[in-house]
Order: sequence, then C-alpha cells, then structure tokens
Amino acid sequence: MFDASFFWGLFPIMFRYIDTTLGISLASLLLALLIAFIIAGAYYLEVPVLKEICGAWVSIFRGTPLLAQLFWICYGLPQLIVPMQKLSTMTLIIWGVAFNASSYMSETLRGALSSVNKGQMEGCLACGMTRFQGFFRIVLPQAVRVAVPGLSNNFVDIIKQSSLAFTLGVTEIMAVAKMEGSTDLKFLESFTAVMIVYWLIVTFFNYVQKLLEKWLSRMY
Amino acid sequence: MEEVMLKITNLHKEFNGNKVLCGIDLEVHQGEVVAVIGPSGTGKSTLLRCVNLLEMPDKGEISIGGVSVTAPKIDRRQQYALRSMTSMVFQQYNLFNNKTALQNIMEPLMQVKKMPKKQAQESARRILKSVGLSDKENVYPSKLSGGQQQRVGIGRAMATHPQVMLLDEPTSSLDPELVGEVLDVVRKLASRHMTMLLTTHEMDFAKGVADRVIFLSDGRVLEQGTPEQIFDHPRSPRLKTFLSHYRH
Ligand SMILES: Nc1ncnc2c1ncn2[C@@H]1O[C@H](COP(=O)(O)OP(=O)(O)OP(=O)(O)O)[C@@H](O)[C@H]1O
Ligand SMILES: [Mg+2]
Repeated sequence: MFDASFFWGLFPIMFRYIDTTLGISLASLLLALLIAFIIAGAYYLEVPVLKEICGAWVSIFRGTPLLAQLFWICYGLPQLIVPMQKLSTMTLIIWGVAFNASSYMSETLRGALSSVNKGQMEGCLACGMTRFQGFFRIVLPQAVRVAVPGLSNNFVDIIKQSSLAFTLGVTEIMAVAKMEGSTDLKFLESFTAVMIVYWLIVTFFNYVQKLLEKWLSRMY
Repeated sequence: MEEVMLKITNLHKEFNGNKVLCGIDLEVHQGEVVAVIGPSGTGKSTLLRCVNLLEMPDKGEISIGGVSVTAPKIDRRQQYALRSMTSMVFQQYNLFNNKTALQNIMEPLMQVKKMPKKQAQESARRILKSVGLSDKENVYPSKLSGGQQQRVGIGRAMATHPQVMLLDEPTSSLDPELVGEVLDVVRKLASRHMTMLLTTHEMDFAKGVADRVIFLSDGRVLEQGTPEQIFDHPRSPRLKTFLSHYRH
C-alpha cells in the first residue's frame, strides 16, 4: 500500500532540486518587492502618469489567474517582443511570479503606508523636508515594519506558486515528485513527500519572519 | 516697531462648502509673539496650517521674510520656499517615531539644511540641552512623556532657525502637571525674540507670553490688542461671552 522505503528515498532526490524552487522563489521575491515599492511609492506620492500605469498593472495581475499570466509571459509575449525569446523559461517564470506577487505586495505596502499617522508626513513638511524625503526617511521605514507580516504571507504564496513552474517544463521539486511518482505509479508516496517538503520550507521561512519581526520591534 | 515678518492678506479657506476662514488679515512683527484665541472649531488650527501650507488656502496672500505666495496658484517650489521660513509645533507632537530624540532634531538639519552628520549632531545636542533633555538623547518618542515629546518637538522646530514659529496648542494634549515645563520652553524662546504665532486655550499662558492677542470668531479677526486690552477690556459681546467661560 504505502512503500516507505520508496517514500524516504524521494527526499534526497527532491532536495537536489530544492535550489530551483528556492531560486525561483527568492528571485521572484526580490523583483516583486522592487516593483511593489515603486507602485506603493507612486500611489503615496501621487506621481502623475506612473500612478496610472501602476493602477493598470495591479488591476491586470490581480484580476487574472497566475497560470494564464505565466503562459502569456512564457509563450505569448515572446511572439510580440522577439528579444524575449532569448531568455530562459526559468527567467520568464521568475518574471511572471514576481509580476503577480508585486500586485499583492503593493497592496500590502499601501495598507501599511496608510496605517502610518498622517502627522508623520506633516511633521516632515512642517520642518521644510520635501515629500520625497518624508516618504523615504520617515513614512516608509515605519510602514515596512507594519508590512512585514503581510509581505511574509505574500512570500509564502510565492513559494507555493513556484510549483506552477513544472507546467512550463522547469524541473523543480513539484516536477520531480510527478516524474518519480509516475514511474511506478506511486503517487501517494511522491505527492505526500512533496507536500512535506513545501511544508518544511514554508515553516522555515515563517520562523525567519518571527525573528525579523522581533528584531524590528526591538528598534523602537 | 520692528519690521513685518509675517503678513497675511485676505486669506480664505473652506472645507467642502464649510467656510472656515473668511478674509483674514494679520501682520506679525519680528520678535513678536501673537496668540490666537477663539471658540473651538473656529479655524485657529486651520489658520496656522494655511500659513505653512499644510492646508492650501483658497484665496489670499501670505508673505514671510522675502517669500510671498498668492493662493490658490502656489507651486511646489513656492511651497517648500515658504515652509522653509517656518516651523511648526503640533498639538499631537508628531515626532518621527522611528527616530530618537536626538535624531528627530538632526533630521531637518541634515535633510533641509544639508548639514554634515557630525555638525548636525553637535547642533542637535545643544538644542536638546536648551530644552532640558540632554539625558534623553537616544530615547525613542514612544518612551518619552508627553511633556518631553513636546519639548523635543519644540527643539526640532527651533533647529532650522525659522523666521516664524507656529505653535498649535502646544500644551493641550498634556497632563496638567506637564504643562509648565513646555510653557517654560516657549517663554524662553519668546525672551530670545523668536517670532511666534500660536493658538491656545490657556488664557493665562496667552496673557503671560503674548505681545498681542487675536480673537478669531466666525472666520474673522473679531478683535485684537494687547493682552490687557483683550482680557481686561474686551469690547465685542462675542469676546466677552467667550472669556466668561474661562473665568471662575
Ligand atoms: N481637513 C479638514 N477637512 C474638513 N474639515 C476640516 C478639516 N480641518 C478642519 N476642518 C473644519 O474646519 C473648522 C475649523 O477647524 P480648526 O481645527 O481649524 O478649529 P480650531 O479653532 O483649531 O478648533 P480647536 O480649538 O478645537 O482646535 C472645523 O469646523 C473643522 O471641522
Ligand atoms: Mg485647533
């Protein structure tokens, strides 16, 4: 019924591909954060034009399924933008996951920004600082602290969403589970194993999040 | 008489049809302390916030030092220019929560005055000492009492050497026993001829510190004069009624 030795044997194989899963996740996280900060900043500072572009961006990436976005970026867009054909599928997947996550992360950041008392910015302006100085030096640092739990949730979503890469032919842990399982039709073992691996990764990052929150709350 | 430092001409401000300021004319001279009094909701805070353009006036002219702006067409550059002539002390302190007491004062020195860090630090230490908080240098606002926070707030407002300091009810969020320490700092500033426009509900404070008192009511300057004239010989019935609420 349940082949325990096959089950245990899967873990070393999967751990060999865990760097692909983590690579996609971490690269997506960094890119998504960068975009999310730009979007949130554009909204907060009401930067003309950029604000409208960001609004459309968020609306598109929140309003459509990630899988469709990934296919669009990996298969659709390169037909229009030929230089994209030179990029690896892995890169395009990172873009797709990051673009999608950026729309959620920007919402998390915007919520955090609006939780910062309006008096903080007024304090900046009143002593002669510019809105940009006030945003970057005073408001944003306070918002980031508030945003950490939300952003961590967004990152956990990214980790889980990286499993979609296997539908585009990238071998990460989900793909390995499927391949290993299908050779002997031992799907129960292989998919149980992959769930455990994801759970371990997510649990690890939740722990990191707790440490980060503790460190941030010690500051002031 | 000293030269005019702040001049407000025909200032109007409304919030969605609620006319708050209906043509304010006001001059504050160099080194003068002017206290604005008046019923709650009459627009005292709005007046101060219009002076540094935290609220955009609908109409009117404001000039401070050499900078003069005419509402409503005031671009960003003019806003920053006018604000850099002023500083503000808030009722709710509005200290930077992510900065220590010292850093709160250093921040405008470094960002606005472009002072190097070392020099800003020394300058901020001197200011912190003058408001009696040398021992709180590395403490964050959340760990300071209201009175201490407000003294840092005043320190921050002094840091950039403003032409005019705006103080919006600097003591009204404070417990009674903490009011004194903040008033002392304000009096000290007044004795150093800092030009100040302040609002207050403390009539004794207005009496003690102000050279001139303005009574604001229904969006207009209804009466003004020396503290004696306003408090001891009020003319308009409005002011008489208003003052009677404060007499026991
Ligand atoms: N941002 C705003 N939006 C809408 N209405 C406002 C705003 N700020 C002030 N008001 C209104 O303008 C009027 C004047 O308010 P303001 O705070 O200037 O009064 P105040 O004289 O300072 O009162 P207090 O003595 O209670 O501090 C009030 O009716 C208030 O509701
Ligand atoms: Mg007020």
